[in-house]
Amino acid sequence: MVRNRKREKAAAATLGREPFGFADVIIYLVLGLLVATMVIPFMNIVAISLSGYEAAVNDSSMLLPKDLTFSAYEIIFKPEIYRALGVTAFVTVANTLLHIILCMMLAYPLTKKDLPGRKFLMYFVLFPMLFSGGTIPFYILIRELHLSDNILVYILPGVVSAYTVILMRNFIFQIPDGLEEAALLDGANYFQILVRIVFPLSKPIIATMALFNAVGVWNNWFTGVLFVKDKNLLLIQNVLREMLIEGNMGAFGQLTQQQSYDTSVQMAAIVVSILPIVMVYPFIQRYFAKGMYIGSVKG
Amino acid sequence: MTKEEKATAKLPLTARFGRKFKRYWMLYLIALPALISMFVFSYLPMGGIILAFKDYSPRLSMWNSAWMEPLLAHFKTAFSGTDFWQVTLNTLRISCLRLLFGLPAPILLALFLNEVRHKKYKKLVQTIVYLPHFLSWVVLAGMIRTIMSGDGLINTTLQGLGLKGIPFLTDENWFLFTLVFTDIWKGVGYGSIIYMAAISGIDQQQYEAATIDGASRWQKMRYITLPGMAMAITVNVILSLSGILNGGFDQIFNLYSPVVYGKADIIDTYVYRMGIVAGDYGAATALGLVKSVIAFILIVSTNKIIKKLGGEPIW
Repeated sequence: MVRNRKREKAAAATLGREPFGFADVIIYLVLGLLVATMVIPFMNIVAISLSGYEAAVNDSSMLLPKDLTFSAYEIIFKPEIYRALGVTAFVTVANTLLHIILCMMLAYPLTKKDLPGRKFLMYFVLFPMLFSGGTIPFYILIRELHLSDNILVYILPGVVSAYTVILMRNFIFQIPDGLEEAALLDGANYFQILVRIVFPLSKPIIATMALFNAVGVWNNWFTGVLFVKDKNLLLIQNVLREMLIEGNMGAFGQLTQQQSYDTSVQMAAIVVSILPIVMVYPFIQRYFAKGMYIGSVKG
Repeated sequence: MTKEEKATAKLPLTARFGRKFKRYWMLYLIALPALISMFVFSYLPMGGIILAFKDYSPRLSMWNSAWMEPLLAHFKTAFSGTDFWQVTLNTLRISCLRLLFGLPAPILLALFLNEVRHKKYKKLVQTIVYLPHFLSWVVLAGMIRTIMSGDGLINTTLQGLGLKGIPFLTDENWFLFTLVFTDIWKGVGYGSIIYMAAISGIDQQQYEAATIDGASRWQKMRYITLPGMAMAITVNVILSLSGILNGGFDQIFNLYSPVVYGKADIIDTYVYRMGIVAGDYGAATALGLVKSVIAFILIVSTNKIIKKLGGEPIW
């Protein structure tokens, strides 16, 4: 870290000698334009969600609300969406907890270089990354396991991911052996070492993988499309999909015809669903970037 | 080797294993729950490939259903007809367009970001461009369908400028543009991270030496920064090639409509409609199986190539 900072300083010094020229203006402008393409659509949907029905129908190109009203949000906040948000929050937490615990429990034994069968286990973990049975066999299997219309369908399938296991394993490799050896001499068993030494020392990787997984679950829509008919078990993305893409407002109970075509309501639903991600995003952004670095640079 | 290890090495294999097992049994036990989970949800579906050879009846379950007569009948159904060739062609076309335009975008962004001198501006740009990556295609498709529709933000603006509106979502060719463009829009920031990592690994002394030798900014970018990213670029090209049969199910499934099926229907969406919607499980599994096998061959050869090039292999 310190060396990096020194390097950056040196780089800044060398760059600083050149004046801020035409090329810089172009670069700053292009980047500014890119940022604009990201910001303007979001301003647009927030503005539509806060605009009156007439205004939104006549001209939906506003960037600031016209005839400011919260009626779209009043329509959105019905028991149906509270339930969907609640189910999604529960599933996100449950799946992420299980994901972290199970993946750590698999990653730790894989760091023991002289564990008999370690190589076989590695291939066992890696192979599903390369080959899959495809959508249909998975679909049939889940149905035959009676997991459709069951909340467990969001939690159990895919809870162990090879990707996470490999990154955790690479992280655990960096923990000094001395700690573990000392604990073994003191009569601790492997389970105790895992819980008391490996888990606490792996906090950075656990935080990163937990965040990635949580975002993945929050954004999951395909499981619901495939396996869930029960309206009480739909995730927020499925409710959104029904109203935005299939144009079916049934998920929101009794909406009048006019409301169901009301873009403001649809945009309000989008805003509500992305708000949790946007709100935590600034605080966890560095973890996301770090996760990508870990993935790309590797151990 | 310690003394103990030397002593163990002399024992016969089974005894050696026995000793190690005594020492390590708890580790196997710790790994077991995750292994079972992987077995059930990753390996059992692989076994489900037999569906491609069976006359599936839900009453009898996957394993007990009768074998097809002839055995490869589902494959014949899946690969006969023009639909199959159409969706394969569509998939390849979309993948190639993504590769052609989507691959350079994050590279350019990383190069540009690297030239930004004001740290705060750089940070601001990075924070904003990473964000769309973390939103689902359902949300983004909802936004795109609103903003890029006939009376949405973009077309209203175009008309305000006296230009003709563009059917982004309803014309086959414009739809391809929409797919590639929105995919870049979503992924360009996040995709640039890996290149920024490569740039941060370049030795700064090279830049200093080049500056002393009077190299221009452009020359430094061209002869130091870009070569420094070469490995990352190569790996990304090869990885994209190995995923050439994918085409982007999540994005297309949420954006397409029957009017653009002609060019937007890819293998994965076709398999979905054939299997899940129409209930033709056997043929859909057969098609998926062939795709999985080709993808497997592609990714294994990819890894070999990366290894040969001296890069960090995926496994």
